[in-house]
Amino acid sequence: MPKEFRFPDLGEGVAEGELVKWLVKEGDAVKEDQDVAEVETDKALVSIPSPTSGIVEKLHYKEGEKIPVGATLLTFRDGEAAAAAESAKTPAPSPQATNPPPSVEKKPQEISPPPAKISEAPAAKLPVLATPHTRKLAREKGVDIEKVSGSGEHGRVTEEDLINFATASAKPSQPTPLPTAKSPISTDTATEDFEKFGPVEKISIKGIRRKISEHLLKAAHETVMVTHIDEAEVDSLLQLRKEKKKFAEERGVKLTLLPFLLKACVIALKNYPYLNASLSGDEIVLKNYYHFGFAVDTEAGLMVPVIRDVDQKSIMRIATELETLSQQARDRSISLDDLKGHSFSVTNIGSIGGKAFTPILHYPDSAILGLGRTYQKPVVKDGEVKIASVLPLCLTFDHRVTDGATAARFTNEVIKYLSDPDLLLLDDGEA
Amino acid sequence: MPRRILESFEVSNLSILDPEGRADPQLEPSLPTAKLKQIFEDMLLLREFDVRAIAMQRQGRMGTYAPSTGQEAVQIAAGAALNPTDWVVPSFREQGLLLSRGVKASTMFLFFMGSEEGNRLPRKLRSLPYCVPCATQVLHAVGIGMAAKLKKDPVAVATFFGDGATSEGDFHEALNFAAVYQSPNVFLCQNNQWAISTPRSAQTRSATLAQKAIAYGFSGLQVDGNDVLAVYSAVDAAAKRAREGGGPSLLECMTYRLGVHTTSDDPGRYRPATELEAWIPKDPIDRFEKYLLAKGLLQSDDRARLTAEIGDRLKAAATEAEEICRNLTPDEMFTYMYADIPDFLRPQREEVLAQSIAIDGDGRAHG
Repeated sequence: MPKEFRFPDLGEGVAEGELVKWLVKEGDAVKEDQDVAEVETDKALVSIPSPTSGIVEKLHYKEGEKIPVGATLLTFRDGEAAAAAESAKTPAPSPQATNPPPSVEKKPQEISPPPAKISEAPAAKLPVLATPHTRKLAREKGVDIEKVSGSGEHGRVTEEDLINFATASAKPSQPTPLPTAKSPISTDTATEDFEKFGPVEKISIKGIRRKISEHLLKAAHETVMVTHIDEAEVDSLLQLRKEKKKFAEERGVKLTLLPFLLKACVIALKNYPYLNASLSGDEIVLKNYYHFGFAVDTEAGLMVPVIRDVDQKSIMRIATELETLSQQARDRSISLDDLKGHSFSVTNIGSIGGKAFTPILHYPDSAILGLGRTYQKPVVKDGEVKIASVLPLCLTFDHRVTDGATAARFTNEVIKYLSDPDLLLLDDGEA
Repeated sequence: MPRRILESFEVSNLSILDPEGRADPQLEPSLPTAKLKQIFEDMLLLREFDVRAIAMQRQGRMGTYAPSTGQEAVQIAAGAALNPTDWVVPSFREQGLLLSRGVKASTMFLFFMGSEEGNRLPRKLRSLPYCVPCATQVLHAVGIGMAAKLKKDPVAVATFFGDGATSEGDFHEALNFAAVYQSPNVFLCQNNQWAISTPRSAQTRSATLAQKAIAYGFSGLQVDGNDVLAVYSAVDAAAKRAREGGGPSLLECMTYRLGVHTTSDDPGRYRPATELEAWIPKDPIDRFEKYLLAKGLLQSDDRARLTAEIGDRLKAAATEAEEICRNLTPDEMFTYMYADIPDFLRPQREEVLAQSIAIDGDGRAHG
């Protein structure tokens, strides 16, 4: 098979060139990089060097003719290098044995098929021509653009073609095709013009507010949240705290209920590890570390510092660290590392008020425990009505990871340790 | 109250080699022999890269290319004057600069063949990839300069652009910012007299481009850009000043592109032939060769020998790049813009992949 030299795109997107002058004749031996022709495009007059050495078999165009990009400009005699041709007319070696110049044979074929094909059979196999706008319109209208016959240049599908096709195909089957589902209800409220209803103030979302917003939206979109609600009787715990308050104060520590709660959670999580987990790709990742995020209300908005290795720390130590981290979050001196790596989180609205709420997961954790305000209420015990202090617990979990039964069992476990805090002395969840 | 002169300014031009390659003894920098020879070889490398690249483009084996023939002194001397720890921020015509800093020739070819892999330059070279938009890289360079200043990294950041870029807003913002914050920048203008078809005279009414720096409060120097030693000395001084906290400098290197703006261009349509003829005797390689011959550092046949060796090396590098390109698929174009391909692009990529398989299959069936 003879070797072809196809006319390359000499500019950036030129379609054709005019052959000004041949610099070689048929039968000439040419060397690689030797100029073979002068061609003028609408951009420039240039000399074209040969991509290979060989004997010119055929010049396919006459001087003054237009050559489309991709058309064969000249062919070389089969497999013969110039050197071989000069010495003798040896029989042509097989094409595989020759050393074709890289890409020259292949590349133009890939880029543009021979021009004859273009004029004969437009859009036979090749994708239809259309502007991105028209393609977008086709997608919106649910029209397969490959089925539309184009009336534009080179069979290009125009917007008009598309509309005609869409109405024609819609008429027989669907007298009232659903329009593009733009009912007033689905109007994007985020960009609604509220000023038509009354005066407004606009605050651009930025900084921490933006982070919170993005983070929570992710949790809301990518998890399946269920909230389980219960209460723990905490009279014993309150009594314990009251008794040990002085002990703690002497060591500069302000003792709250939270460290006890975190300890109770560690033990419960060891028993129910799916709540100390994340769904990652196709896997549930159970975490053998206990780093708890705890929500802090700051001037800039909600921040969630992370206290590490809660399982390995004393209640006093946890209390100290909670205080330090909270303060760092409030004065914005907290390091980025102290906001990362949480495996489970706690959020406490109790200092302000509230009996029950539905916490949003601290993505990618599989669970978060919300605390309400401790309050007194009458409870029935052993057939008698008593007054008890109760702490509302609201556990939100990712239902993809585990089920309501686990959440309830976990909460029961937490309640057990909060109701009888002495157990915290005896057990760390490992026994 | 009378009118008083508050300040007056001067603009100077630096030239060391005369057209016969004789150096001004007062100004001649003392460079080790090995460095002089390396500069000469790198200039030849750049010229041969142009020869190979233009041939490949004309043969349909490579995309658009902007040659440097006639401008070798600026790129190569600047590269030689900078430290490896300095940063370089090129436009689209700094093949020689990047090659002299250690970018592989095959990588450069890959870029012009359309593979983004040609933009993946080793980090340690401290070289940004090509920047095709006019003058945007000048701002990037100031950003890097500011970062270096904040990190107290004693390096210079050299950026390259043409005469046309000096009319862009980005250029002026960059120079002003660099001056105000005294960033360690060297602004290197390759004034090759033509911004595609716009002549220097239509670019600005200023007598020199160097004087643009004065308005921003730092020094500008015009340099004979076809004189390797002058460019070396000017860049060396400007880079030292930058590294030592002396702030930015603008160097206007007067040169001339002997060839086309890019392979899509035909200067014969807009440039008078007499102008080209007047610049040919100022060829930077010829001048430097004369200098080295006179010093006995080069023999008369060295240039031809080196040119042939470099030509062979570049052919091999081009073939290597073509081999790599052969294994690329058209869906490559979706690979580099986003770390994770967004959903709206996925179907487009699938479509391209499906078509490329179809076309490839078709080609094989006929071949």
